[in-house]
Parts: sequence; structure tokens; C-alpha cells
Amino acid sequence: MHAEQEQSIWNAFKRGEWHAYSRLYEEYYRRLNNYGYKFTRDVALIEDTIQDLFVKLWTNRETLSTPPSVKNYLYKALRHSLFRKLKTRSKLSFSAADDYDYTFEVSYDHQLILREEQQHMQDMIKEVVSKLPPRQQEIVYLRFYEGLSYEEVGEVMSIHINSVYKLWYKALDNLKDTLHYLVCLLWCLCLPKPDPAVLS
Amino acid sequence: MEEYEKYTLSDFLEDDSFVRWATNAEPEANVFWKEVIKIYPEKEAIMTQAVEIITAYRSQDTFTNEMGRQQLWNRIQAEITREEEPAATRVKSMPLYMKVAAAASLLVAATAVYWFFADHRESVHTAYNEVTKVVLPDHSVVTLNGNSTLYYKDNWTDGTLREVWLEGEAFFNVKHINKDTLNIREGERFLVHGRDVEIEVLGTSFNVRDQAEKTDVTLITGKVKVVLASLSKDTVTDVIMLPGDYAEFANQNLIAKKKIEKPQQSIAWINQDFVFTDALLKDIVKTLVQYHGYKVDVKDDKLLNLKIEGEISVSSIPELLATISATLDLDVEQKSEKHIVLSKK
Repeated sequence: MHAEQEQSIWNAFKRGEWHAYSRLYEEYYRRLNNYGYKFTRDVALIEDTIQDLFVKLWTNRETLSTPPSVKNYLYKALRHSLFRKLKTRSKLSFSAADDYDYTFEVSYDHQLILREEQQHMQDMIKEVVSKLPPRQQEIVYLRFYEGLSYEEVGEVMSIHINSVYKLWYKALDNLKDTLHYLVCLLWCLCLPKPDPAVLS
Repeated sequence: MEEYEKYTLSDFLEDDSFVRWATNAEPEANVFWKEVIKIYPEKEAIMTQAVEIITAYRSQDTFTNEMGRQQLWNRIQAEITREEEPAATRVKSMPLYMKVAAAASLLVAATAVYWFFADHRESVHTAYNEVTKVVLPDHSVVTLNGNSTLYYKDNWTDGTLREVWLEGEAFFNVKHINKDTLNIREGERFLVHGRDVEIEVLGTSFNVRDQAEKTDVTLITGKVKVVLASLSKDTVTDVIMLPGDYAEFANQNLIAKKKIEKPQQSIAWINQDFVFTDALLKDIVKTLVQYHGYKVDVKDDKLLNLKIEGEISVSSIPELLATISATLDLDVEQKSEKHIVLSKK
């Protein structure tokens, strides 16, 4: 959805227009499920969290501000609420809110068949990313999957942008060896000419 | 744009706008990056690699949960409706609420029953296993289950609150008078009093039952408000219930609330007065005698041990007798209205 379109739907929803509200649900249901699924495989818990989130949105619609990005706003709210639920459930952690003990997992189980070199690259990336600490994995996800900027990552994860940089460089450091290897590999394998679809 | 001259692979991966473009978050940026390649053609390979890396990472599984989409949306709608003002006075414009059907069923049980009897009160009491229909002055119909009592004022006038008191179990089919949900008059409300709870509706059908230690409410369709009438007036709590909601109340507190799959089962007693599973003839005879005041003569005592395999679920005594006759191959002779004789054909 385009930013302006998103904003106009958000504003209609704030005025109490039901169709705009249901449009938000239609638009973000999948994305929120997908994001939530990275933290837990408990689908019922994700659904409960999305339910709470949307009920709260409607109830508080008049007092809500207009966020620069509705998607990031919803991601942040989902993440926050999901962590609280996970924490309550585990009852193991008594730490401060930003000191949660969470997992972040991306899966490649049901992928389409890739070209051989793509497959190889994916295996490498999968291997190295899955070894990163959860928070670093989440940054990689938010940047490479959701395309968020450092600032937006900080917003969604409720951490300062400097922490985002720090975490990101750590992640990249961890990725670097692999990246170097990948670069060599790509050169050696005579990487096919730049994909016109990508760079056109 | 000069900065890109020295960009390494990691630099590209660190660059916000490059990442945005490579993740298709910003297709408009195509023009810009084509321009970069034009100026620094030596960077094309490395950019392609960066894109390939991001693309490989992105080709991960997506969890869409499409199966749950509609159901979750229903749950959200239901919860919002529940949180909105009840069917009483301060109803806000709410698209969902308007759609709520004027039919509901609920199941209530009160701990013990004490009633403040008003002077002019009618009462209907049923014996065990006796199901009776009571037509109230407003033409609402109450189906009373066995061993239950319904009290109501004998003078109902238009424009005054409709209220009844219940002990036991009953299914209410309340006449819907209100036409404008934004403007509800006193006479359009219908109130069922229990010890711990009051159930307020506009026009709906619901089921109310007593249990020893708690109050159960099951709503089938529509919407009702359950008021937990604490002795101190300042701690009154409302519970709005929606179709499929099941709630338990005890000591003027809500102690459990959940959605149930088949709320209709809570009113199965109305239509299935006679439910037997693998019954012996003597069980059926006993029911007829004990709960329905029948006199039953059986020609041969051995017949009493005949068994009807499986389930019988019928709604009237004639049907029940026909079932016995057919499955056990018996003659049923009707001596008088409540006197029958059973014999081998």
C-alpha cells in the first residue's frame, strides 16, 4: 500500500469508519501473522495478540496519533504485546521489558526450487543467520525482509538507533566471513550476468 | 552520489535506500539506481551480488495463517460489539450492533434463590420433567423446564419495564418491541432477575437455569447484558454477552467466560424431552409413570427387560410410544388419556 493511501485509510478509520478499519485488518493480517510467527510457533497466541491489538485500535481510535508508517506502528504494537504474553506465559523472566528472552526464527522449509547457485547462497545465508543471536536476526529480518531503515528498525524494536547500528554491525561482522566467501564464490562461479529484472 | 564510488558489498547492504529498493519497498527508486550504475559501471557486479544476497535471504517461508483470517475477524467484531454500550440507553452508532439478531439464548443458574415478592405476582411452577409454556402479557413466551418457577407481575402496562423472576431453568422468547436501537424506552426493555444476576434484553430468546453453586449463562444468538447485582450498589458490574458466549457467575463475580462451539446444545432439553440411550423398556415406563403421571400396564413382566439399542430422541409421548411399538414389536393400547397397556403383538 502506498504511504498516502495508508494515511487516508488510517484517518478514515480514526473517524470511526468501519470499512477503513476492516481494510486495515485485510491489509495487515498476513504480515502481522508472519512477523509474529518469527517469535513463536504458538498460532493461537499470535491470533490472540492480533485480536487484542485490533480491538484496542478500535476502542482507542479517537485518541490515536497518525504514525508515519502504519505498518511499523502495528509491528511495534504486535511485538510489544506478544512479548508481554510470552513473558507472562513463561513466567521465567523477571527482567525489565527490554531485556526479554526471546527467539527469532526464519524458516526455509517450503521453498521453491532455486537455481543451483541461488540454492547454495541461500544455504549459506540460512546457516550463518540462524547462528546469530535473536535480536541480530530480527534486525536482519526487518532490514532485508521488510526493507526498514535503521531508524524504523529502532522504532519497531523500541531501541535507540545507536543500538540498531551496533547490533547491525555485529550481525554484519558475523556475516562478513560468509559474505567474503560468497563474493569469491559468486566470482568463481561466474555469476550470471546481472539479472535484468533486478536492475532494470 | 560520489559516495558509491567506494562502496563495498557490505556498504551496499548497510545503505538504507539501497536496501529499501532491493526489498521492493521502493520500486520508484529504480531510476536512481540505474543512474548509479550508469555513472559507476564497475559497481554493477557488486550491486547485483548485494541484491542476490538479499533476495536469497528473502526467499524464506511466509506464514500467512489464511485459515484463521475470517474466524479471527469474527472474534474481533464480537469483542468490539461486546465492549460497546449494551442494549440499554447509551448506544453509540455502531454498524455491527445493528446487525445483531434479536434472538439470544442464555443459561443462568443462581446459587440459592431468595425473592422479594411483590404483592401482585403470578407464579407458574412445574413438576419434575414437566415442560410448560407460559405466555406473558406482552406475548413473550417462556418455556419452563421441570421443577422450575417463574414469577411475574400480574399487571403489565405499556411503557413500563417488563420483568420476571426465575427459579430453575427456562427458555425465553422475548417479544421485540424496540424499533430504534438508538432510542430505547423503558417498556421496550425486558429484565430477568436471578439472585446474583440480572439479564437485560430488548427482544430475544434465551435459556435460564439454576445450579447449586454457580450461575451459567450461554448465549446462542443476539446480545444481552448480564448485571451482577451486588448488594452495595456502587460495585455493579455489567457483562455483555454475544452469540456463543458462555459465562459462569458465582458470588456476584464473573468467574469464567469462553466461546462454546455448539451453544444450541444448552437448549436441547426443549425439543428433546425424551432422550434415551440403550434403554430398557422399564426405564421408559418409569419415566412415563414418574414424571408424566401415566398408568402403564404390562401384560408380561419379561417385556420390561426388552432393550432398545441406540438412541431415542423424540419430542412427544405419542412419538415415544410409536417408537416403542415399532422397535419392540409391541401393541400399545390406549385405555384412556394417561393409561396405556403394553402387550406382545
